[in-house]
Amino acid sequence: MSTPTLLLVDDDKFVRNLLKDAIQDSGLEVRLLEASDGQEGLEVATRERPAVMLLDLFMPRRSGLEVLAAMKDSSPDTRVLIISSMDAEPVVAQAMSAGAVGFVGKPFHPLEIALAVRQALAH
Amino acid sequence: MSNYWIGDSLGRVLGPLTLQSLRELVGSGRLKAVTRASRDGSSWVPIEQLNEVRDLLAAAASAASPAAEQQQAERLRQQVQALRNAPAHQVFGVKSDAPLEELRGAFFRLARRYSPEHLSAHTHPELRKAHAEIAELLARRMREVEAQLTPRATPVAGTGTPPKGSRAAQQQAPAYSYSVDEFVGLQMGRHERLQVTIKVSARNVGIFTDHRIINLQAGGLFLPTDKPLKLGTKVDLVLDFEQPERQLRLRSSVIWEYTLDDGKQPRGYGLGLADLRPEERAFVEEFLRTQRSPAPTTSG
Repeated sequence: MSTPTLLLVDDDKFVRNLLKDAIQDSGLEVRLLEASDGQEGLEVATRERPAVMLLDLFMPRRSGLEVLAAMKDSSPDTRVLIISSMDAEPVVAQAMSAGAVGFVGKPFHPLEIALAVRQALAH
Repeated sequence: MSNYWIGDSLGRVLGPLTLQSLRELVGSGRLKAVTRASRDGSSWVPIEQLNEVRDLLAAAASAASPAAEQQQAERLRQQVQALRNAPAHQVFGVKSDAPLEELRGAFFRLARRYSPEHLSAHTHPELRKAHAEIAELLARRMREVEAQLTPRATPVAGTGTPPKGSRAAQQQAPAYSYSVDEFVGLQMGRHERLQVTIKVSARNVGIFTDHRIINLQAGGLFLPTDKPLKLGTKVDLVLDFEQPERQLRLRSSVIWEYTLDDGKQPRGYGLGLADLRPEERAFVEEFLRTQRSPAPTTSG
């Protein structure tokens, strides 16, 4: 089986680095790609069709909710996991009904990320 | 249904949000950085001018008074007292036979709610302390749960993780203390990672080239200093280039340390630049080339 691709979309590089650490430290064998805003995230996802996308919501150029909606056409098989500090209940509900497979709030715990990614890969 | 967008001074946007989502975000105090709002994603007004949330903004301002925060701190303290000897499932609000996965999920949600990172810098010290007490209680209970339900794990504060890629790393999850310090991703450059900012100019471009082992060609840079960092220290590196102006933010770690004062090698530490993209590397190489070129003369 080929190594699954994970796409990290967050405008903060340090957050992307923390996510990378959490995933790599968990022992998951994945190919990691990254994008620094919503527009770039959508472009990379359309081109690379990752198995899982870790998506921030509050970003320049295109918000995570807009990216999530566009993913239905651009890469419908990608499982989208939201990682955001905007984790109020109605926002979580909005994201989940728009097709996200999970929602992790910020600040996050590395184990939480590892577990959520494993779950998304198995989805 | 009406839609709303919110934005901040950095150009970040979030939308389309339902009115319920927007009001919940404002009411919960999560929009500290948000400065503007829109009903169509293109015409923006200061968020204070959006009638739909004015009442919440006013309420939030009055709720943040020192007296109100002290009262809140007292209420939280009473909760901690009541839960101090309670079993984990009661503390986490799940059934007594809840599986580990559910306990972890409940813990993560509660720990995040009481994370001091959600408090503003002006929060009353008593309220901050009460949050820390709750977070500590939650972490302690979670460690007990892990010890009980995953006997092979040894979640002890301060323990490290096995080397990446090793068999041990793949077989055993890293041990966690579940303390607030392990929750990351909101305010960067703190906790386990060290933040190093270097202003790069003609005066110090040697950090990329002068060391015989740790240099750009080998995928690193060397910082001469009397106080070297320990090997393996994770560093969030910010390189501020002077001319042309550009900032590179890189994930890095200490790959070389030399502490001997024997005159054979400079004392200091080397940082790995494995995270450097090809385009960023090309920029650094071009920067080095221009800084090292002799200045053009006008004679002739």
